[in-house]
Amino acid sequence: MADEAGAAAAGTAAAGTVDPDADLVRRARDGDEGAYEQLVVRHQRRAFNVAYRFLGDYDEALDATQEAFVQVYRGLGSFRGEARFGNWLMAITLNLCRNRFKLWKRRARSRHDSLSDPVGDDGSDLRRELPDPGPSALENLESRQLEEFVREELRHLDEEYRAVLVLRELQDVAYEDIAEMLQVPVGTVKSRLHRGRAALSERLRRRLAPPGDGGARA
Amino acid sequence: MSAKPCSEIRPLLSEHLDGELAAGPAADVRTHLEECPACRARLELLRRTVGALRQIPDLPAPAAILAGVRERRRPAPWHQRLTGGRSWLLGVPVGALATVLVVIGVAFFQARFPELPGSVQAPAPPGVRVGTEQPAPPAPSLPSASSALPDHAPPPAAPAPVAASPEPAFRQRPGPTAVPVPMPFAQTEQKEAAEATPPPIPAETSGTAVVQDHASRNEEAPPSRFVIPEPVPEAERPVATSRRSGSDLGRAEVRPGVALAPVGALDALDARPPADADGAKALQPVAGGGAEAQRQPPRSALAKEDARGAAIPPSSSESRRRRDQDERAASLALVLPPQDDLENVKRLIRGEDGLILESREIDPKRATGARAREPQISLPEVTRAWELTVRIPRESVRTLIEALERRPGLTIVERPGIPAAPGPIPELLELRILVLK
Repeated sequence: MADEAGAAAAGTAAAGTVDPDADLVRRARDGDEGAYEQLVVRHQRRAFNVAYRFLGDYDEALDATQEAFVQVYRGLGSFRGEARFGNWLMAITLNLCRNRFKLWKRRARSRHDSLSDPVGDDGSDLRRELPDPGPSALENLESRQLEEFVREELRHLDEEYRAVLVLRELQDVAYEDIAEMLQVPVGTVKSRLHRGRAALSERLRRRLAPPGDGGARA
Repeated sequence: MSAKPCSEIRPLLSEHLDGELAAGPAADVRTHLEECPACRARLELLRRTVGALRQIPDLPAPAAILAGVRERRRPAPWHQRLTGGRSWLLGVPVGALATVLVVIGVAFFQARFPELPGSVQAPAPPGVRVGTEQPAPPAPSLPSASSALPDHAPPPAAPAPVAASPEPAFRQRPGPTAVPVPMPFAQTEQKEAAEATPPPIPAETSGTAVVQDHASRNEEAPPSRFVIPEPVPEAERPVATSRRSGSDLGRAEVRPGVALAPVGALDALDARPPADADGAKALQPVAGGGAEAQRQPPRSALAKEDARGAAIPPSSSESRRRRDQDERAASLALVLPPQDDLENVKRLIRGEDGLILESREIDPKRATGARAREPQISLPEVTRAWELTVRIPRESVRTLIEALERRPGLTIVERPGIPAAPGPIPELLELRILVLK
């Protein structure tokens, strides 16, 4: 009876959709290590790439991903299918990444610019106003170069925005799933997404602006 | 000008980009954008930013993930489980205590039973997992256990370990020594026996993790207790792959290990490239004019990964070098008539699913210098020159050239060369296009 109830719980996920991992999760919970490893193989690419884009460090991302899977393994017994397995895994992965980031901050390993500082994400004129990059700056900025810039600037974004951008723009995760991973409402996800985009594009704008021009725009 | 100021419109630009604005705000934004070039520029930058974000490719999952997860899941050594990892609970370093007891035990046993062959070997260092392949450190109770053994008498039967029991269990160790050794990993041993026939792991559609990890099960030497997965050095990390379909890179997925070969292979080769993304198979000779015929992972990487049987994808520095070599053969040079411009060329490229990676204006003298020395090429006076680096599906190159040739007044002065050696043709080609005007 308990097994059936657990199986039923594992078979459903958020928003009434069936979790495609339900069967593997059930078997893994029952001790089938092969089933667990299939879950690892199925989800490792996404988990690793999220960790990598969040942390910006290959080795740290590798370590965090392994740790996330181990935590999932240990927590399988108590996982009752309240969320999709993939979302649960991602929540753990992001949590580990955030903790590492906080550790780095404390150790002053990396330099972070807070969005509450100079860059206004509400679209208002900046205290440090810079002219928009000229048409040629954008025109000459082809894909590879822009990708480089975006990758670099992504690391400097606020963690909340970074997480949503990585999940939504890089991994194509649905709003509802992101909300489940981050344990926030869907509206908050959308808000962070838009503000994160604006912040990121603002960082690019500052990067591309012609040097030496700091006067206020009309 | 729209009634709304820029400061009210700009926070809405991202939602406007996604088409998520309600009718009223959407109309406000549209009206404002018609009249405000600054906000149009902001929107364009935002659009490009989001587009660039979406183009950031996925890396393949490292093979070390699954191997590392397996290692981290193993139970802790008995002394760590006893103390919860805190050696100070026992008042002394547990490892040092274990070593001292082992030395005493060895000396005692050798003194008491000098005639027995294969006396207990040197103990394993503390912290090493006790397993069948390694000599185990005897338990603290070893001296009393040994003293109870009569000469050549069969060892007493050990209490049968329970597979699910977390308690340390003792069992007889096979072999002539017949010394009971602690075996807290009865559960681990049974797991290892089960692992002798590994369950099938489904193939992943991209990346090389599955094949490599499956091979790692066959390794003979067990890894040490706390294996820290060897990080793949920056230079050896695999080339990124695209994850999105329908985008510029959608059809043209660069698989790890697959080189970007010159265009000229089109005419000479019929075979399609290998379809699977298996990293081992991807390491095959690649057609290239003068380039290396075969891409091999760095020797040091192979040596490191030998135990796991995994191949390291080629380094990014090797990828760049190969790309440089390939580019010398994968060049297209054309001269635009006065009425034509670079943007048209770019439009044609994009129309053929090409992705412009780089575009820069260069010194026309430098661009034409080498070519002017070739007598068969006569160039008109060139006042401007641009160099484009383009990634384009193989099958689109021919149609691109045909489209360029159809443009009135456009002259193609150099076409991509044909590679010297045949080989598998990759899906994607990197083309260097010189545009002169």
